[in-house]
Amino acid sequence: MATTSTVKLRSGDNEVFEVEKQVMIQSGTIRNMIEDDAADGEIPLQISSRNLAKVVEWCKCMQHRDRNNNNDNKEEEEEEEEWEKKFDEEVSEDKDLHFGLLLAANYLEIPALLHRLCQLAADIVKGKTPEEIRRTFNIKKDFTPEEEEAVMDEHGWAFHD
Amino acid sequence: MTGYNYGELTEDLLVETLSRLPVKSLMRFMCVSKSWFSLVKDPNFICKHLNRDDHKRLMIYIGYYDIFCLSKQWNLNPINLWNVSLNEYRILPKPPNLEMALVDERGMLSINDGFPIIEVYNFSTKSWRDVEERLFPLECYLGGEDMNNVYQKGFCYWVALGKKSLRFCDYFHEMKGPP
Repeated sequence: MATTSTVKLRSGDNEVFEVEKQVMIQSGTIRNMIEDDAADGEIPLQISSRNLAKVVEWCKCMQHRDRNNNNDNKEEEEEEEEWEKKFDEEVSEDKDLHFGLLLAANYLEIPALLHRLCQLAADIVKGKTPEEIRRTFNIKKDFTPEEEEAVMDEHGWAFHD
Repeated sequence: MTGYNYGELTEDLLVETLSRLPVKSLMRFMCVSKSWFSLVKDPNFICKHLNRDDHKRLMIYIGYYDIFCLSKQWNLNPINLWNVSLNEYRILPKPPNLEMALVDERGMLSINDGFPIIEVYNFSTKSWRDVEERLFPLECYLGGEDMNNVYQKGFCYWVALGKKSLRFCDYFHEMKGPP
């Protein structure tokens, strides 16, 4: 039986984060470990300390928010919104962070964080042209000019404002 | 750690991301590459896109005619049809007895939930009409969350659920599209 109320996460670059279990059970992967009593030692993760710190911060904020959901504390609510806004901005402007967090949220199975990050990615790409998308995703164009034209003709409306 | 690009996303994460895009972006991104083209056209992807409630609307993509059906909730809101190819937009009159609806390639089907009262919206006469009851045995209803309708060569196929057994795929019905 698990005895402590915290869990220790070791990042890929050997930094240890001690976090309340209550916070980390948002992660399906870690929740399973806790339930299997496999979380009493340190949990080694192939996630950099920078990304892991961000994930932990996010989980703390969400847990705090959920716990206070029934309170009508306007001030705290605004603070949380502000934090989320800052999180979104920071992630949107930092591709490495965004990418790292996507992989981390996927690996740790944190659906709400994954949802947030995918939505941010969608917001980033949604206004782009196909050429910009190819650059962003490093995709080689494999349509012949004729094929490309046929697709563009069929969906011409999507290429105008 | 630098130099990542979104191209290194796994297929799952790519699908997660793209399924959150508006239709217009998706249509444009079919030009990106053959694999993106196939992805956007893939029925599983379309289904995933449809089921995102953050789109705040349901969209049915009809392959042949590029008709989108936009409706927040079948039973509460007017059914808006959008024909992309013709750039035509139409709000359908509320069908009698509507609780759920299906779109056919040339018309709109209304299905009273649980009961085989089926009405077809005819685009040329702009009216609803009943479909002969015998086409659907009384013990069946159409359904499943995704309304498993498939269009093939002018015919519309549904998976119908038996009311008694509630087993999936109990019946597979075929019905000719409306005239």
